[in-house]
Amino acid sequence: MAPMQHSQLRQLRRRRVWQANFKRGFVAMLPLWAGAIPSGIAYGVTAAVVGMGIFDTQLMSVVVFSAAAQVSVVALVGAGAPFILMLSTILALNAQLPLLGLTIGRRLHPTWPQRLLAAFFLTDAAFGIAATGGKLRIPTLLGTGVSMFLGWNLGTMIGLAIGRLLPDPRQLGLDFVVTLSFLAVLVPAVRTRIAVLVVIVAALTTILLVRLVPSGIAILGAGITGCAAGAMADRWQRSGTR
Amino acid sequence: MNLTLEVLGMGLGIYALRLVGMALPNVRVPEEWERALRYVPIALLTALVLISILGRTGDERIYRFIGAGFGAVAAWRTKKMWACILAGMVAYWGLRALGW
Repeated sequence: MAPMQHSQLRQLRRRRVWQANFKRGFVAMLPLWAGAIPSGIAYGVTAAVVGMGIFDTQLMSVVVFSAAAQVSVVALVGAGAPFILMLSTILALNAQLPLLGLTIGRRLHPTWPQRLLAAFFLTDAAFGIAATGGKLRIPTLLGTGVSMFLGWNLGTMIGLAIGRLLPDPRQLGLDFVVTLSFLAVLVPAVRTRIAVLVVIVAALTTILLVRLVPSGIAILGAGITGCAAGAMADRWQRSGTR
Repeated sequence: MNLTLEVLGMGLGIYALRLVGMALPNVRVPEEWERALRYVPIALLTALVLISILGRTGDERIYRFIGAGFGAVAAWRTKKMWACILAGMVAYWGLRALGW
């Protein structure tokens, strides 16, 4: 009797920790709803304007779940573009995702069900917030991902239902909260000289690439050059102190 | 092609992109690369901040840039998200209201 109670207790505790981490991620994303909901509304309205049905518009927010990609696809639907062009646009705008997936896989070694679930909710905002504000954990990552997913889909729904009656919330510049949320997580994480170097290299790469290529590729480029610079400085520092 | 099917196809495509990195972790990666991956979140957030500002034009870009500066200082001094958002938004809305 006693050992069973013990294992039950342990299971209960594990579940509590899981819930606490999930909640931490979910709550940390709430300021970003200030960007997700207005963009979702704008997407819903634009989709209605080009004649996409309510079902397809909402379905896209569920299965594609990427603001930049969906807004571009809506423009392509309006222009009657072929499917292959829409698909390649989506992939180019999200070219950074495999790098995030690789980081998650290498650092957390998730189980297969965890991988399949975490992949569904993976966006760079959710990953960035979960990976920088404390230790990266699967429940935290799911918390940030689910939070963003709800905000985005709620925005789409509002856009479809009453979007055209509302003044454009982006006119107020409320979406600037998103930039500031990223900064609030980034700045305290830059604690070492190597981290400063990573920021500088990633910033220069972004500035250079952002006008030339789709945003996903610019982000991927910043990720690769920033990491390479960090790794090189790391090696140099290690060989110097040896 | 039916739009619903196309949307589902796009969903499948982006899901594969999300999964592919995570599906690979059993390949052996040199230790150096492994260490390099620690810097992904910092590089990523830097790029996201810049893209969200550089995507604007004219005065709006300048206001956001200055607002971000105020936000960064607040984040650095307090390490609090709300302080960063408050400082950044007040500076940004202030500049917009003044129309500088």
